[in-house]
Amino acid sequence: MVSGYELKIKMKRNSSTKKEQQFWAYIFLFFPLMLLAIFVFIPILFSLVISFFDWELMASQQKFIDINNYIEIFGDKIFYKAILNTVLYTIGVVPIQTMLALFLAFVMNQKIRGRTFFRTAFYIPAVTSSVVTSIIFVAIYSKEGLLNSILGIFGFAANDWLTNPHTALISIMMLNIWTTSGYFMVSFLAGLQNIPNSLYEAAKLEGATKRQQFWHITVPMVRPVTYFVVVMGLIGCFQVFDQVFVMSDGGPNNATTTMSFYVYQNAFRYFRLGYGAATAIVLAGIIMIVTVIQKKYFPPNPY
Amino acid sequence: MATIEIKNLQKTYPNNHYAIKGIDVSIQEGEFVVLVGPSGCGKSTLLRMIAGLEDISGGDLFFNDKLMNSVHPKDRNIAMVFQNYALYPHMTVYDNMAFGLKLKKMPKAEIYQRVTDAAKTLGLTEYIDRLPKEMSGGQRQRVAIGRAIVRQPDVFLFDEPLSNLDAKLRVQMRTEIKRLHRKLKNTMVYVTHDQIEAMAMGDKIVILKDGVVYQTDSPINLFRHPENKFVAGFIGSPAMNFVSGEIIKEEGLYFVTRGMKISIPPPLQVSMERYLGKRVDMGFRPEYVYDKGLEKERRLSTDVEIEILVVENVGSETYNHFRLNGMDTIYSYRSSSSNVHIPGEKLTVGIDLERLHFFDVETEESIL
Repeated sequence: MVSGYELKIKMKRNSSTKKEQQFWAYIFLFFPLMLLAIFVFIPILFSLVISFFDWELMASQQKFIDINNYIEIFGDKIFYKAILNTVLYTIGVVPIQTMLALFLAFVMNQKIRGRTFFRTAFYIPAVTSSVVTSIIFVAIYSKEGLLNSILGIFGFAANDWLTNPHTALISIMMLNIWTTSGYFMVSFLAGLQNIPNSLYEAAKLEGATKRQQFWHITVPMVRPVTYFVVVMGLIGCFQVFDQVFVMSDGGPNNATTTMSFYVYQNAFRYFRLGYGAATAIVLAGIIMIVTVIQKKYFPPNPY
Repeated sequence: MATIEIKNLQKTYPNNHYAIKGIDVSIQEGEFVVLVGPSGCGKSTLLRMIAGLEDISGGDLFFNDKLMNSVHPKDRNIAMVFQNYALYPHMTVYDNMAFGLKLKKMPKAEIYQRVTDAAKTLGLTEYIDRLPKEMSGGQRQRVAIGRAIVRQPDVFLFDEPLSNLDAKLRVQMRTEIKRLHRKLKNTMVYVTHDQIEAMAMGDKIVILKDGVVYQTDSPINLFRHPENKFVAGFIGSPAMNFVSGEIIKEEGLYFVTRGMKISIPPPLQVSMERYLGKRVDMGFRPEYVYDKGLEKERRLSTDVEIEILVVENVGSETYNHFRLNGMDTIYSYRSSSSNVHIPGEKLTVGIDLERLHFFDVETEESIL
């Protein structure tokens, strides 16, 4: 039995610990928050500010030009080209990488020999520096590279994949699918392991084949993960930069200029910081709109 | 409808662990058989082998005299109800029940007929468009049963279907399942760890422990004539009391232990002869212990002095827990709720001599 007096002491002790806990929680939150503020939040706000200026690095006084940067964007052919490339890139990459990741996870979740080896093999590209994988793929895609040698066996003519405007973007898309599928496979694997085995057993008793089990149980059951993978995939695709930077430098003839690459070009090649910031803001807006649309029409967990 | 014949069935895992060590059970057409035992006894494994979800390592399984060992689960014409319901969360009640029929490419009209009939039987008609998450545990389990009914299987298999429900609902659902059995008259195999559930539901109960059948019989026979100490202790609540003692001979045979001297009832006198001078275990149920001051009609043992330790009054009756002459074991005695004892009370009781059980100390078999 807890007497009234003891109870009081207990309550008092509890409430003081709670206050103490809150104090330490704020202390621990403060430092990461500071870092985030300095390197993320303030730069975001600052880029919003300078998008209204004709910002010169060396000038002592910056010229406020109102929304002229934005007006210029809407007449900029290369910007439209960059949007088109990014959209094509996203449409090509997101569905394939999502399906491939789910398929790989489904296979890796079966009791097969060498499962650990395959899981690791598929995951390695995700933990390798994108610059490194890009350089390796530059070699693979080159005229004397691996891809052409393999295709040569089947009698295809050699193609210079990255300098041919028709194949440059697709080549980068393939690299990206290869690197991200393994990464998202891990997310799907976690999702798959949350599906109770009895669902598959029930379906098996009812006569569902492996394929039917995949479509009628696995796919609907991992829907929250699929949502996550598609959102992350969309954001990743809209922001694709390093592969373009390393492999094709936006060329040939802007065939691989994506939105973030265009932002970079304006800001750090042509040093038009204000204009670059404005393109970045537009890019952020587009990502936001797409995510909201996705959330509205494809909710993560309807059941 | 089907008979099931299980012959010397074995399950071995790759690490040489024997889950099922050669089991024989035969199940008649339309029988409701309960597999019961403590956790890890192999009851679920046995059920899953009948279903085809586990491979059979040895022995034979027959449905209607047809060997089933390597027949695919879907071709065994069985339906199974799982402990966690195993409903498809993204499908409505209707679709959950219709899923298997759709896979069979059954005409839509017939699917509709079967599902609505099953829903009616189970009182689910108004929930037909709901998702599982919008329903209570009992309703979900009913959907799972409905999913089994619509397939019109030869055999229903239940794997602890009521374990996730609260006590009250559990009692209600077990009546419903029994009612369903009376209506459908299918062969049903039901797994539970709850001996009361087993007793309440089974036409026949198979008691398993460590992958071995300890006894197969009707509920009442298991209660009255347990073949071994395990079954005697497993069936009945509160459990049977056991006391170890010696057999001595005076003008007849007696079982003696500290402060207790009980004459062996006549039918057992002959078979107990060979235990003369040896130790045996005596079992007596809490139901057959009587207050000497109140019970005058039954043939009771000599006086046993006890001191009540704990009293559990559950309303309809009272369970009194006591120690015998300073022994560590706590025994129980059931009295009517009108005869309430208090802890510390000293009492003279007697045990009904017709209801005694004796067990061989080594084999733990019943001495008959």
